[in-house]
Amino acid sequence: MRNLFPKWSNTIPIKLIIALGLLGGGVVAAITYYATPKYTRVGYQPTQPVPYDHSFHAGQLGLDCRYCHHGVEKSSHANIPSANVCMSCHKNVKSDSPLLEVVRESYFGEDSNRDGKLSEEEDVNGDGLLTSGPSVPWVRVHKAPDYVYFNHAIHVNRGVSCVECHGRIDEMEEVYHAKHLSMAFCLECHRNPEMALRPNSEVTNLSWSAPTEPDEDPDLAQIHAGLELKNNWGVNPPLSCTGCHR
Amino acid sequence: MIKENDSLPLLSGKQYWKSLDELAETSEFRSWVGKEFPEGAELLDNVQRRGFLKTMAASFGLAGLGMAGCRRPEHTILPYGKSPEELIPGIPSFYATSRPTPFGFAPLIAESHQGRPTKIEGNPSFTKSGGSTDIYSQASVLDLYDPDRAKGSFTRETLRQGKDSSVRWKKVSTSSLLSKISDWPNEGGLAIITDSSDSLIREDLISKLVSGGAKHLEYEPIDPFLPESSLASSLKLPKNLRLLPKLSKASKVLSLDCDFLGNREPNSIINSRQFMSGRKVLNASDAGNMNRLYSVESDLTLTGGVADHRLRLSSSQMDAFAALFYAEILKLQKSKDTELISHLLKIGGEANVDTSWISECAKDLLKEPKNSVVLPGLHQSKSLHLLAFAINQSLGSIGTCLNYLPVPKRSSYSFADLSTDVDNGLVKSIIVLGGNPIFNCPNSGLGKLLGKIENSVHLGHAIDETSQLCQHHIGQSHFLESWDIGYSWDRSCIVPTQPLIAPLYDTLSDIELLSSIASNTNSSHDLTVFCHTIR
Repeated sequence: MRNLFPKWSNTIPIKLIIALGLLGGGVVAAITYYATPKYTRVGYQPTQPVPYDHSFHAGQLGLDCRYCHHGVEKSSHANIPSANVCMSCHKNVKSDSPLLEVVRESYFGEDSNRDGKLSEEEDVNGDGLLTSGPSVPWVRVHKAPDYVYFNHAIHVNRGVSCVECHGRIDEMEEVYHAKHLSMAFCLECHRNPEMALRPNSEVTNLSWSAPTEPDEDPDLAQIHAGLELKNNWGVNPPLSCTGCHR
Repeated sequence: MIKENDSLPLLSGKQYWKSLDELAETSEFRSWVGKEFPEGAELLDNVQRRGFLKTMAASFGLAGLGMAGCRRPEHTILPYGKSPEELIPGIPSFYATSRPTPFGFAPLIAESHQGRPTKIEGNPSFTKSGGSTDIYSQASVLDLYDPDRAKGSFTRETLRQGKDSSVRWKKVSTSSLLSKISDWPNEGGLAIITDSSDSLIREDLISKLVSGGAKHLEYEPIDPFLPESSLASSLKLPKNLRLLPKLSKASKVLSLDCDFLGNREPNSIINSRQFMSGRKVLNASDAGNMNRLYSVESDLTLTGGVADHRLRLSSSQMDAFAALFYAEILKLQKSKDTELISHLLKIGGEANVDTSWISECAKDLLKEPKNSVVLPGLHQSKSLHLLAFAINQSLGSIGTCLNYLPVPKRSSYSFADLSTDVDNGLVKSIIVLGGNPIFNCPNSGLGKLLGKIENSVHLGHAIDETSQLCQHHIGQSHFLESWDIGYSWDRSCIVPTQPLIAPLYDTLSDIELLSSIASNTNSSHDLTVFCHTIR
């Protein structure tokens, strides 16, 4: 009787297993690399409606983060400044710049001749009140998922600097996603908060590092400074699921 | 083609039907059953269902090819142009206000997120309710965002095309409608139908209009003022008598179909708080001092659930029960008034109740007569309220466990009066403020009256049955959008209503409408009327 299968078919099962193994390994590797926040988020740099240069304002001019993001110490949400915050300087500085037209439009709104008063022709909707213009559509860069509760105020007030999550914003011309902000990222810091704590006065000083004694390792200096702060402030970040997934 | 099997035996046993049409075997039903697809399914010309599905499936498949769905969606953050002072996004602000209800103004604290009211709680500085509210106040914030709200003002318009005519609502600006209303013959030709309210401003404006010759009709679907006015008329008093329980001192309470802890009676929040304070057991000695509740009721209520002793009794027998109970009290008090007792026993003759229940209850109440109270239900008859008054008087609990508060009489103008006035030509225009009288009072004959007169307008939350019979409809502002001030139910305080947000739509509050008729100031949120009244 003739053989039903040729001889080369003997090796098919082993080949199949190897091929499937390689394929499976490849898929796992690809997902680990391409489908995690380290790849999908880091480097995200959308084009903003106004080319606001953080490296100039926060870096060179030395504006404090909280001048614009003033709610960060009080609210869970770090607010994006409203147009009147921009205009408090830009009424006088670069007041004609075409790049700032969007901001001016949002600020002046119905006040089309921009004299600060509302005349009858300007009152388009007829309510007798000076209505401001359309909002400046800033594009969101950092977004915590809806199932994660994140409170800016508690972090900032306990000495976690902006830089820990947002990177060196004061060196960015246009803001991009610097850290991956995955769950592991959060947990790493919640397990070892001493690596990120600093005195409250230095929270918005993004270039700060713990002062070192001669020959002291900077990391060690940070751990010592951080541990002291952790004990003094009673910092005890939650590690339970409900800490963030409320 | 499958042919119907005619040789099947006829169905036997009980036959069930799913709709009235099926039961009646109408021809429409038969043809509907016979068709594979509902009418209109094949209306698209030149497009077959199969072809359509093929194209759609292909386009969905192709849409995925470009991996367009894998991009992170761009999300914008829209800050203010000019931020309101002191506002921090993410931190809510709280404002004190109140909700006008048929049972007085309920003091509230409303939470607002960036100008939008989101949550309502009771005002804790109103110590009697201590920061609690009822279910209606809690839910009332949703009315503000109700998609069925009347979003402005509308006028009925009849379109004619040959023989056919159809009616539709045409949106008009509220200010133009207001100027039209102020042109209506004002002197004596105006009737205002309102729901009840304890608003001081509305009272002031209406009395101004009434003195100018307008008629004012006040109604509620379930009249909360009937007991107090019937007590006044029976006792021949110049003012109405409003029953206000003071349950914190009560040790025995008998409820006669009165859900005073539930949501059917006025003051229920305060009642619950006061009543339950007598049930707090903090140590062993408190247990003996707990209050006791007897509930005679025709329904399953919260009060019945809390009661220590509950007696089922139909509403119609409540009078007889109260008469027997009163007779028992008088007997136990060794009253000499045998004529009254025999009369009461005659009234109570028809009651089908356990007499031992009555005598035990009466004995218990008489142990501490001054701290025992009988509460009659709001919906109950005039005679029951009178009997309860007499029982409370003989117990001597008036003043300790309940008060009868004299309150001003309400307008006595009725739908019958309105009907005669319309027939005599004394009323030419009708303004319906709030409520939905056509639906709530179907026997009032208001529908016919609205057909007879020249001008009619309904101010309401939504276009409803009443609006359908009026010529114009004006959207009513929510209480979170309007100013007002009025009494709480117990008249112990005057509570203001302040708006948290400017009206979302082109709507008016009842006060704005009345003030525009009374004094021709129709600017919305005009504080002059408000300030004038407070002064």
